[in-house]
Amino acid sequence: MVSPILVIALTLFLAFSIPLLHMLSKKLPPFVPPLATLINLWILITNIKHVGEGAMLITTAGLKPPIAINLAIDKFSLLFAILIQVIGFLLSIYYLSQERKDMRFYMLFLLNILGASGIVMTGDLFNSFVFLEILEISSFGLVASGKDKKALEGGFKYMMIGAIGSSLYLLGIIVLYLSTGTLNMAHIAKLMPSIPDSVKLFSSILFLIGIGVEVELFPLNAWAPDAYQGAMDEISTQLSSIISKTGIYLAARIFLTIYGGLYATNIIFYLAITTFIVAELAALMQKNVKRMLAYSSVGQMGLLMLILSVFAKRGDVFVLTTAILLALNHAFGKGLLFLSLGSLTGNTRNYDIEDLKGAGRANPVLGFLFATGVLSIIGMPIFFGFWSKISLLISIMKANLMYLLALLLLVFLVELYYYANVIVNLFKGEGKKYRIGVIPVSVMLLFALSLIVFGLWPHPVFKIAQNAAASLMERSMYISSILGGM
Amino acid sequence: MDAGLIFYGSAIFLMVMGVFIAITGRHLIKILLGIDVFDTGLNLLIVSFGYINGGTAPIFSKYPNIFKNVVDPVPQALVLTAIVIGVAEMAMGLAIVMQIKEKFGTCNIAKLKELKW
Repeated sequence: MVSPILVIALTLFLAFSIPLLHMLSKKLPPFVPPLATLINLWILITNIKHVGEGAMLITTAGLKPPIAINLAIDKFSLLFAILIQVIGFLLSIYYLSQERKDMRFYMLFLLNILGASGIVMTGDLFNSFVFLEILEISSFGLVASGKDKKALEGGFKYMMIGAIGSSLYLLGIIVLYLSTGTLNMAHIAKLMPSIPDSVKLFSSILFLIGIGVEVELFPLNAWAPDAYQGAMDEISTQLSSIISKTGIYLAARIFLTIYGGLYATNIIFYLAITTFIVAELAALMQKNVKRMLAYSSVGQMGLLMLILSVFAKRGDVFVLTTAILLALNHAFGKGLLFLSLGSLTGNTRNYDIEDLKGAGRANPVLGFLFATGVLSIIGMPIFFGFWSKISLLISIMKANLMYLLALLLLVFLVELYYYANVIVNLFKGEGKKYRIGVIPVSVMLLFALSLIVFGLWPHPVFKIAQNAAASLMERSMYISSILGGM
Repeated sequence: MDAGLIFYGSAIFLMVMGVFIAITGRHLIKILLGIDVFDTGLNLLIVSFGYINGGTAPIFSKYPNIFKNVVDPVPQALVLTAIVIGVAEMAMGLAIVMQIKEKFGTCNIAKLKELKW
């Protein structure tokens, strides 16, 4: 067994060894991110069988919790950690195909992976703030790294909101620290009943603002469409597949594990439902395909938060499983869409729907890849999205929330309409043919293949998601496995 | 007047002022400064949470009974980390502003209209 703390240590080491390697040879830096994510993946996979019921505890500084910082990895964290490494690996392979003069980009990329994996593995609240900041600051840099006007503008807007949001997240941590005297997540969760209600509500609202920036919750999501549109296509993939998924993880960990699903869920419910409807309607109006995908991403994140808040009220493990399945589907599907859209425009960064006419017919492989992503996102049979959407609808039906079911079906129709519109445009008329390298196509094929394979054999994924959801639900197990018999 | 009240009051005043500057500011540097003032206010607030009037440093020795009033060291440690993070954030923000000034030729946020709002 290799200690998962190496994931953090090694990524950090490799990230800052890039300048040294750059001095040795200018060709080396691009190969560091694939190496790092591959090693991380291996470390996490060797740990799969060691994570049983409850959370695996990794102490630092030789002290038992609640004293020192510790990592707490349960099945839910492990699933997200592996997801982050897989997407990170695929993206870093994708970067190999690009000429990039600046080696600092690879550092930012690795730091971003580091922040995301840190957030999903840590068991300490303040530690999660530090990793959140690493994640956010590196994503500001990544978004702005396109170096054209749009990227800079998107990056600055993201920074404005992100900086204030994460500061309020810190304030929430401090409020909890003042009333419990500890920063350990499990310990705070254990002491939660003794905290006065007003403090719980106040701190959970502060957390909601901090996390709301990451999960693109209304009204904190003004940055999201701009950042998605302004950033390079691979960075948009990273925003939708890694950064926002980490936000969802953090929301689940804090509102379900620490607060026990009781506080601020009503607020989350209404904000999430607003996010979902407004974003999907905004996507419908877009003429710019990339901005449309961005709004669709925001809408999906709203849907995930909506399911989380419904789960918090009902406590049904099936509801939570569908949330995880949707998150996985969105991570792979939207990632594929952003990547293939970039290639379909021939990297001209002109995403107008009129100019994309016929691009799919002229480049059949790319058109097919884009269509795969779309079909999975809207939930067609034989694709992974089908299973996540069907189980979502069933779980909502079981929970007897008929008005929600009607609303979801209506919004899915809207989604279907605007995606169908893009697909029709792609395969109508004559378009320009673009040359694309082997590496980008094979990365996109892997994304598409995973959607189809998970769609044809959903059982293993279903089982994994179910285990992850169950371990997230077992709050007392999490607490006792960290704190021992205390 | 109570010392704690002055600390809390001024820290919260700084935070509110920072958010106000960040929201109403039109110049990019001004917005960054607003965020920085907000961070400073927050840091002061956190430190003052752990402060005890007349307290001493939390150093444990073999004479544990000498010090009765020890200040809570955790908020100070947290603030130290938060300050470093704030510096990193400012550095990234200023780097982006420099690039914006180069590309757009302006630091006025109202003139950044490449993306539809």
